[in-house]
Parts: sequence; C-alpha cells; structure tokens
Amino acid sequence: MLRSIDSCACTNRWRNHSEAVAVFCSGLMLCAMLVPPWPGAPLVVAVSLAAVLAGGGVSARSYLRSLVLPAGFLVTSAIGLCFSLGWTGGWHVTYSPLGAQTALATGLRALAAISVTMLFSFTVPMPRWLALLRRMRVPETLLDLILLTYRTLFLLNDGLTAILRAQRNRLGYRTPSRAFHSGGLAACALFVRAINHSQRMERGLAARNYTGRLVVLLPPSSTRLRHLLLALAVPIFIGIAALLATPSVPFP
Amino acid sequence: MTPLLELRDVHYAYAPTLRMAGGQRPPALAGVCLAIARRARLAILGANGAGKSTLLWHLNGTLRPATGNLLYAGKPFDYSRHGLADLRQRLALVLQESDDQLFAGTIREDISFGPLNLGLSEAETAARVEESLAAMQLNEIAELPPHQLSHGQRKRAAIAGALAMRPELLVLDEPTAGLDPRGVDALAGQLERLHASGIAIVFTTHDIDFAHRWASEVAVLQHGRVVASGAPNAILGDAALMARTGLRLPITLAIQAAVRGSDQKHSTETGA
Repeated sequence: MLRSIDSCACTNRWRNHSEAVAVFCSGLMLCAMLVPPWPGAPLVVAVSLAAVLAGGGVSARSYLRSLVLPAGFLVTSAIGLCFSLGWTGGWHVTYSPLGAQTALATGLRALAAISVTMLFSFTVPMPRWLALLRRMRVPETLLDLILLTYRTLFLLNDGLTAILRAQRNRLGYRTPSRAFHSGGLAACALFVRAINHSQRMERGLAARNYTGRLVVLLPPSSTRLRHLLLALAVPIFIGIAALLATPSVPFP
Repeated sequence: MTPLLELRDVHYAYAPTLRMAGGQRPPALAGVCLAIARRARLAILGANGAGKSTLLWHLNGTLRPATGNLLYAGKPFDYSRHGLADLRQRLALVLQESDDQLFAGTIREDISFGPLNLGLSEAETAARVEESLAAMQLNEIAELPPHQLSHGQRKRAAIAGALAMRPELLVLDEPTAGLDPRGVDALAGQLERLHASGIAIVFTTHDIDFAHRWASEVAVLQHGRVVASGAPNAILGDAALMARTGLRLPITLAIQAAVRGSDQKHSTETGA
C-alpha cells in the first residue's frame, strides 16, 4: 500500500502543482471539520474522490484498496457508537438511536477527513511536500528527520519483505510458536540492518562533503495564481452550499 | 610525472572483535604501494577479504592508515576538515550499494547535495545537476524517488551524484555488481565517455571480464598487498597468478589458452 500511494503521488497529473493541492486540501479539511456533516461531508467526499480520480488521474483500484484499512477502522468505531452498555438488572447491550445519529455524524466527518487526507497523499509527492514545508520555514532538523524516515521506510520495507519471504520459504511461520520466534528474529535482523545501513549512509554522505545538513535544491513550482484561486474557490463554494442547504436537507 | 594519487606502504588493521580467537585480526592492508596516474583506467581485483573496499575508503580519507602515506598530486593527505573537503571535491567515491548513497526524495535533489555542500550557488548547482543528469542519461527519471528505480538506474544516479562534484578522479566500488549484461555494457559506455572527458577512473571488481575489457591497467590485491599490477593482458593472462590469488582467467584469454593448448596437442600428435 505504501509503495502504491508513493507511486501514484509521483506520477499523478497534479504532482507539479503541490501548492495548489495543499491549499485545496486545507480548504476541504476545514469544510470537513467545520460545516454541518450533512450534507457537507458527503459533498467533501464527492469532490475529493472526483479530484483524485478525474483530476489527478489516480487509478480507482489503487485508491479503493488504500481506503479499505481506514474505512474498516471507521466502520468498527461507528458500530461501537450505535450501542450502549447497560448495567440495570445485569449487563446488557442496547441499540441507541441517539448514539446512531452521533455515529453517523462522526462517521461522515471522519470519512470526509480521510478522503481529503488521501487526496493529499495520492497527489502530492513527498519531496514536493517537504519543499513546501521548507518554504514555510519548518525547522531544518525536523525536515531532515522526515526525509530520512521517508527514505529509510522503503529500504526497511524491502528488507523486511525479503526476510519474511526467506523465513516463510523455510517454514518459519508453520506453527504459532515458530511464527512468534521467527517474528522476533525478523525484528532483530531488521534492527541490525537499520543500524548498519545508517552507518554506511553516513559514510556515503561524508564522501560528498556532508556538513550536518541535508541541503538539496528545491523543485521549482509550476503553480500559477489561477490554480491557487481555483483551489480556494471550490472549498468556499462547498462550505457555502453546505451551510445554505443544511436547514432544507433533513439529516437521515 | 607525479601520479595523481599514490599510496606508499599503507598498513591498516580493523579493531579486533570480542569473539575473535586470540583477539588478533589479520591486517586489512599490509603494505600497499600503488600509483594512480592522471587519466588512469585502473581496475583493482582480488578475492573476498583481499582488502579492496578498505583500500577505497583510504583513497577518500574516510580511513586513515596506521602507517604509510597517501599523496594526492604529490602532496600528503591533509586529514583536517578542510583538507578532507578539498580531497573529496577532487576525488569522488561511488559506493557499491547505491542505497547507501542516495538519501533524497528525488534523483535531481540527491545530485544537488554534493555541489551545495561545496558552497556553490543554486544556479551553478542546478547547472551541474543538469550536466550530471545528461551525462548519465537520467533526465527522464530525475523527479522520481530512488526506491522507484531499478538497480541499474540507482547505480547511475549514484555516479551522477559523484560527477556533480566535478572530480578529477572517480572511484567506484564494484560498479558492475548486480547489473545484467546490457547494464554492464551501458555502464562501460558511460564510463568511457567520462574518461574521455578527462576523469581518471579507478574501480574494484570481481568481474574479471569487465576489468579485462575496460581497464588499461589492473592491480591484484591479496592479503592486503598489491601482488601484481600492470597491463591487463599480462596480469590477467597469468594463469598461475590468477589461481594463486583466487581469481580466474578472463573468458577471452581462457579461450585463447584453450585454443593454443589444443593446437599444440594437435601439432605434437601430427609430429609424432
């Protein structure tokens, strides 16, 4: 999933317009948080979905596959809110209409927020995101940390995949006790790899005159004023439309 | 003529590890003497553990010899911070594992790292990045992160990062490791162009055929010593030396030797 999101972010149609996408996502996120969830949240979800699939040109399959995990968490949490635990006359679980309404409102808001987060993840490549943060004067140390974490995450992911595959090939996960043992060994091996890799990378950086800061050229932005205006206009329109429609559209 | 880089009786030993019997560890380098000429195309060969990588880490000043000297353009290495920065501008090292060198979000950003560390302006850095991207034919993938590239592309990106420092000497650790034959051919072509532009190239390798085909000089390491150096045909064609140092004959020389042996056998039989 990690690789799929990263790959989409690096190849989508909006990859060079990160500033506009950031403004667009910030506006949509404010809508998801502030305007009434009905009909505001479904509007935000629809716009995010249209933006990521039609605008960014991201494949629906990759997007939906990545949605499964957060949506699963959301559904299980919402189900929990629909029921209440009673104590009178012994333990019992009862359906709560008020809880269901809260679950629906919270669920809609959360779904809208998730869809905006995913729009951002699928359309803004990490290097562009870091460049944005650098221009916003976020402390260099924090940015270096994010950059190294991003790079190392993929290296360790590859390492872990190889270790697990090698263990499975030798029946390392045949029984629960063997799986527990193999999992521990994999974690240890990964830790050692991470340490060794960091040492080798330090030498590699030193060979290029590393001075303590991971300074690189920032990518040029191709965002124009009209992109930014459009990115602002859409969330404003959604916000106004949702506020105006709220009294007339009954909450389900 | 003064060699570009010279090693005089260089010794080095790693610290013993706790589990090592007797606490002794054989020296990684035991009196290396080697001269690298300007415009060299030198291949350093040797079996595993011969000391090739340790030697490379000495060339860019990462490791400091226990005894012996290294000289760059006739001057002893200056191991101060300034001295090392100056050395690493002239001598660029490309690691065997490209992932140990590539850290940035995109290839373009990674290549810009070295020039910016040299204190160059953004405009000058951008020009060098473009130049390096073109030299290693990476323009089309310049905006991709390293983990989305193939092994060969990452290797080229690591070389481009070193090239952007505009070195006089490019040192590569196992440049052909993990490359398919087409990748090796492409790399050979790119190294050829770099050498033609005036850069001396030194590389370690286990790929005897590549060394025979590409280098103009080879040095064979064994037990931390240079046991032979000279023209590829003379050194790599010495079957006894190759066997003694755990290497093999290049395929072309092995075929020649086999054909020669067969001819001799045939003429002996006809003569008899």
